[in-house]
Amino acid sequence: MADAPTLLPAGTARRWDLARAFLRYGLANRTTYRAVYWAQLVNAVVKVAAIALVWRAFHAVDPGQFPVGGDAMIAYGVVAALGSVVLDWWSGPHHYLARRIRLGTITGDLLRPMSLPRQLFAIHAGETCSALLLLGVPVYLGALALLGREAAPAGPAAGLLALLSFALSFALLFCCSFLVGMIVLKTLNLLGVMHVYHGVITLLSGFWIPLWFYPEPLRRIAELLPFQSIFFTPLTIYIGHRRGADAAVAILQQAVWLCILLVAVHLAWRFMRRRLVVQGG
Amino acid sequence: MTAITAARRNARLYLRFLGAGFRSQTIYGFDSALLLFAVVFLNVVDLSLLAVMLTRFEALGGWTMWEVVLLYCMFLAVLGLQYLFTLHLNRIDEFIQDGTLDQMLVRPVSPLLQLVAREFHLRNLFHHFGTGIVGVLIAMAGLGLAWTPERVAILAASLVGGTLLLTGMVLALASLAFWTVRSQVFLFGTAEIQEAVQHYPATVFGQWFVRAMTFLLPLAFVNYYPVMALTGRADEAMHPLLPYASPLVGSAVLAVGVVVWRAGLRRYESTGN
Amino acid sequence: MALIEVDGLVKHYRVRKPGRSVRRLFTRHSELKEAVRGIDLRVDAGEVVGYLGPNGAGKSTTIKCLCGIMAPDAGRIRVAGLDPSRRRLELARRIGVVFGQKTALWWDLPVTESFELLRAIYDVPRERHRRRLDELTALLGLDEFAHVPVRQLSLGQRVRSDLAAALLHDPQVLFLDEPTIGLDAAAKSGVRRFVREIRARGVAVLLTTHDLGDIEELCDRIVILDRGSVLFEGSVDEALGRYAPHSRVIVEFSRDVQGTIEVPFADSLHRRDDRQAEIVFKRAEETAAAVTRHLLDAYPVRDLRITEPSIEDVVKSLYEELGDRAGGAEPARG
Ligand SMILES: Nc1ncnc2c1ncn2[C@@H]1O[C@H](COP(=O)(O)OP(=O)(O)OP(=O)(O)O)[C@@H](O)[C@H]1O
Ligand SMILES: [Mg+2]
Repeated sequence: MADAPTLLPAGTARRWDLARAFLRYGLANRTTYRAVYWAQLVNAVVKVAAIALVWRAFHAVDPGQFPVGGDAMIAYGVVAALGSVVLDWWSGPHHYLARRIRLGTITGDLLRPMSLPRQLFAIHAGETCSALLLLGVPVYLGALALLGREAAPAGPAAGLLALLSFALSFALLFCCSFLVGMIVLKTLNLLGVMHVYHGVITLLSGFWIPLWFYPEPLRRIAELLPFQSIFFTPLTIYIGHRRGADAAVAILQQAVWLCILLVAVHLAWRFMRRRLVVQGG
Repeated sequence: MTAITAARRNARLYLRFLGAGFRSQTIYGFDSALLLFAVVFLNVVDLSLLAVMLTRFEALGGWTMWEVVLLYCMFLAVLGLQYLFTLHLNRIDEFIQDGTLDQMLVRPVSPLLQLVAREFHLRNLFHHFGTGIVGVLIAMAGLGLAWTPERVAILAASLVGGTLLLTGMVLALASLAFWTVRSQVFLFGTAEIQEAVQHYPATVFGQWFVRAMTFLLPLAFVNYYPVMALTGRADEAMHPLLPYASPLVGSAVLAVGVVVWRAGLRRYESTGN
Repeated sequence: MALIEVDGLVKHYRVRKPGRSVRRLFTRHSELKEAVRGIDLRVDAGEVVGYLGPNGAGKSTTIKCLCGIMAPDAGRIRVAGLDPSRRRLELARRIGVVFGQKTALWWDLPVTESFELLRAIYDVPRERHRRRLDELTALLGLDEFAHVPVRQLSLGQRVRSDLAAALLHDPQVLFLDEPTIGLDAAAKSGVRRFVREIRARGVAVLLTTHDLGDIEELCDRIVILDRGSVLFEGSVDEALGRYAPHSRVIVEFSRDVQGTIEVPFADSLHRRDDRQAEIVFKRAEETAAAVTRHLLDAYPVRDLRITEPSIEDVVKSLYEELGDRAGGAEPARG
């Protein structure tokens, strides 16, 4: 990669400038259509409510099956739902790439004085921040107000650590989506690849069902892969299931996975850039 | 008389469109194979996670595992049928924006017919519908339910009713684009609720949810009630006839969808988009 | 016989007021934008009328009202004798529409299959359809790509197919919204030949374009629109007389000429340097012959060039003037 190892061009002032510009872009994107925003907000609320209700129902049936209390399980569900709204893996770099390729406007992106992975990272960061501010925070505050202890973190330290862990999750998910985007470029089949990706995340990240419910072999596999670092790690930290040294090790594991994936992104992009065939005229 | 000739003409045209649609499908090749694999994979993942939970929490709200599998696959089969004919309805907002609707409006055929006939998604016959039907067959075997003519009739009628219902809902929601420019997000919003209805028997969430899914957003008629009818639990429903009402409710929802579409079109004609 | 009659057409759009991003989520301000404000228009059978105007003038909006896609807010419209917004389906059989930007054909189908589908939609008898298709194929040279899926056609081929599609059902009125956009010179002249042919058959054509070649070669009459109102209506020659009344002679001397150059009736005179001068005069008051004769008699002339204004000059000077008045160009929407 001809680019420097940082994700944004050098110069702190310029970096801030860029970050602000992309955040504004994200906010503007999300606020263009009023009705759409409100519908998204309602969706997020519905999703959170549905997952909370499911766990409440399961917990009522047989509390003995859970390694954590009912409150913690509902918190897990609420934050998992919010996490999947803010860190939405249906949109993102892969989706953006596929659209630009189909429209043939990818050439424009390649001509800009910023490498494509960086552009995508900046755009995606801007969009995720705006989702966090406009959807995540309000729904989270609403859930806290309504559910109280059932949605709250295990403690202030757990909350802060989970926040750090979620930041790493964002970077991890970006790398995974970018790699998926490279597969899309190769196969030109967004839909099929996306379905598989969605299946993999649902199965292996623990965002829907915590890994402790999995049969032993499946759990082993999940623990060997990076996906559980995306949701299971921050969620278990949030509810206090992992604390102290346990939490530190989990976060370290996230960081290691991030380094590995960054290298993979770097290599994949170097490989793809030379082979990029632009569709259409 | 003129109504009959018009209907006949419309039917003929629709078949023609379908024929054209058939010819432009590519259902073979790597793309389709990948997508088929992806859809089957996704649903197997989904179902096995559900099964993981169901084996740990037996008798979820009084339903056995095979009943929940039937519930899930019934929904999947109906979804496949709806996708087969009208998957593209969720792009009504795009059609409005990019001028496709304008093209339809300058032709001497009802725009709704043109819209519906525009595309045909053959591959869903194998994907969602295929997976769903296979699942239904397995679940019926697992439950030890015999294929009496009565059950076959209930299944067929419920599939048709559910398809009409989902089509009507998508049409109504997507047509909101006439007012809000973008409408896909409304579909995602109900998708969330659809997922809940697909996975869990509505009673898990409480009676209020059953009522909401019966009267407000009648998704329960896609799988919850038909499964009750198939497994002989009709008398557990709020009213013992509800499990057989899918075709009726489906037609009503479709009518609502058409009304919303018409209202939207009138608005479009008077205001532009 | 007038096939398009428009009296006092008015059309508003409701547009959202721009606001700061987050605040936009909570407010609901909109204002009316008058896209078309009181237009009168007539197009007779066998006439091609050019409908011109800068971006955002209201051309596409007018065409949408004329096809029945949108109902006007005020005014009376008759196209082929019908009120478009009341009887859209009936009207559809009598008009053909080409939006140059957007194909009416089916993306994945070969061109011939699209035509076959259109035949069914418009209820054209098979025999007549075949005759018509043969004619159009010959006229537009469709046979080389008749069996290629539309998505694989080049832009020019696609536009030609779209033109054929719009005429398969023998419409009395043809609306062309920028039909030559993006075409190469050969394709353009093909399309123009085709439009002349259509005109000869008595079809009324309303043509929107930014291509001035289209106007010069095709239009019997032009209507120039600005911000929703008609600014000029008449023939191309009349437009030239009104908006570009000057011709110019550029003269080159065989040796340096010092001092002022005198030409009677010249409106203005620019010296480029000692060897060259440009003389601008009104065609209505003086002929080019008189000006050149005077120059040849009085000065050592080596070379002379006479330039007549084209419709391009008309449009350029007009649009520039309009732009100045509006204080900058408006953002355009197709
Ligand atoms: N759907 C719409 N909603 C709001 N305003 C619109 C809409 N469509 C057009 N306008 C506005 O109405 C005016 C006229 O637009 P119209 O598309 O008729 O212009 P035009 O003459 O066709 O321009 P061009 O040469 O760029 O195609 C413009 O100011 C435009 O911004
Ligand atoms: Mg236009």
